[in-house]
Parts: sequence; C-alpha cells; structure tokens
Amino acid sequence: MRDMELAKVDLSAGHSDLENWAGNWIWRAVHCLANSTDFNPSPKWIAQRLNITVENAVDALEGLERLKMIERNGSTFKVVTDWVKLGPSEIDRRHLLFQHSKIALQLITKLKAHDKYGCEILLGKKELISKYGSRFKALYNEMREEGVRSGGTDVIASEVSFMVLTGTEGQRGEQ
Amino acid sequence: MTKRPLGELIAILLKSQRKTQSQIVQVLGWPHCQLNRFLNGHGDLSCSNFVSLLKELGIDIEKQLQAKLKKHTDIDDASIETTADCVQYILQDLDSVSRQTLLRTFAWASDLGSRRKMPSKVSEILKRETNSI
Repeated sequence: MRDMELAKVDLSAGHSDLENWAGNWIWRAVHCLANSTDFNPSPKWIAQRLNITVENAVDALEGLERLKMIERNGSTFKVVTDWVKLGPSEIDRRHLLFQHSKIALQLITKLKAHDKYGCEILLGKKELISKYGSRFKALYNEMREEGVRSGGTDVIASEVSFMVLTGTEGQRGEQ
Repeated sequence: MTKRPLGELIAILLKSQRKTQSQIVQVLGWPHCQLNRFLNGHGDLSCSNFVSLLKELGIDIEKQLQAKLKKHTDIDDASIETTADCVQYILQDLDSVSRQTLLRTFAWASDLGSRRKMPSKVSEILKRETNSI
C-alpha cells in the first residue's frame, strides 16, 4: 500500500475533502471499514454498520474516492492508501490541532459507560511525551496488525493526546 | 416557458464558459460518464457533487448560504450579555462540522450528567442539526 504524498496541504480553504477526512469520524471509519473482509460497498450496508445516514455513507465513499484513498474495483472498492500522515510537517500546527479537536470530541461522544477509557496525570519532563508517544504509536500498529490477522470486522476508535499542564502558555509553546 | 432540466442548464453554462466535460471531470476527479449522464438527464448527482460542480463553474452555493445566514445571525458584540449569547456567538463563527461537533458534545454531556431526561424536542432538533457527523 502506498502512502499518499502530501505537501503543505491547504486545509484552511473551506470544506475541502481532506478537511472532511481529517475532521469527520465518518470518513475515517468508512475508510477503515473498506479494509474489512466482510466489506459491502452498498451505502445502505455501510450506513447500518456505522449507524449513520445513507447520505453520509455516499458522501464518504465519493470523497474517499476523490482523495484516491479508495478506488473502484469491479462492483466494489479497494483501499489504495492505508493511511495518510497528517503531521506538523504537512500542515500548520494550529490547524492540525483544530482538525484533531473535532475528531477527538466526536469520538468522545461515542463512549458508553461500559467502554474502556482513562486519564493519567503524572510528573516528568516533557521529553517523556516524545519518548512514550512513539510507543503508543507502535502499540496502535500492533493492535491494527492483530486486528487484521484475526479477521476482525468491528471498527474500533481510540484517541490519545498528551499535554503539559504546568507553566505558562508561552513556556508550554505556541497554543 | 418550459422549465429546463438542471443537467441541461449546466450544459449550457459549460458551453458559455467554453469548458469541456473532460476538463471538469479531470478537476473534480469524476469518471467521465458520471457528468455526461447528468448533463443528458440520465442520472443524478449527490448534493455534495452538485455543489462541487457548481463551484467549479463559479457558483459557490456554500458561500452564498453562509453570507445569507450571516445577515440573520450576526451578533453585535455590544449585545452579548449572557452565557447563551456567548455560546451563540461561538457557534455562528464555526464551520459546519465544528459546530455540529460541539452541539453533539453538549448533548452527550447533558445526557450523562443531567438529572433530567432531555426533552424530545431538544433531542430531535440536535439530532437534525448534527446529521453530518
């Protein structure tokens, strides 16, 4: 699977497709679902699986196709790009946080009482965040690979973020 | 006067702008047949595709809608006095997905933390207003 090359994408220009992908859980979830062994390209099937409207399912499929993340393969779709790296080297940090805030909040509202969630507040130096942040990424990759190996068909979402609570905003870096 | 189908009107607009179907589908990333079917009245376009097509032809529906809404919802800074005013000010300034995300978060938090069940009217309106996420 090739990664999509992104060079300083312009996410500030209205409702671009990439903005929808970055800030709307539905597009990401449909992208993920397209990898499932039981994937059915019918928008009605997708809508039922994700508990969304058929219109949202159609919108997501068409948008992902325009972004070349999926492409038509006979009567179905196949995933062309497995993931898109959207980090500070691709877009302005502030806008990246803005997009993340939307997805993070949308996912939080999906939490039910019996789900797993947690919060940790600890002491350390901020370098700890980079060190352990990469371990979390590696864990997600492990989780993803095991999910594929086991033939899992549920779409699972997780959100993680780290922030330093002490110091002024200037000391913590630009907001 | 006979009302022309939308596809026909768009075809006329295309010609008037000396644009070809190939040019349009290349920019929008569509299969050629999709536009052709629509222009010839043999197929429909989804709402978002139609909006993208119009934008490519110089008609920005979203911008026009936002401009119209802004006229009706713009809050004068001096008239902001209550928390409700502040919330309305913040909400009006956000893009659609951000606004829906915040509304959905309010509803979810209220459902978890409120001692009262949300009135069905409120649930229905919020569900309708957050139907893109």
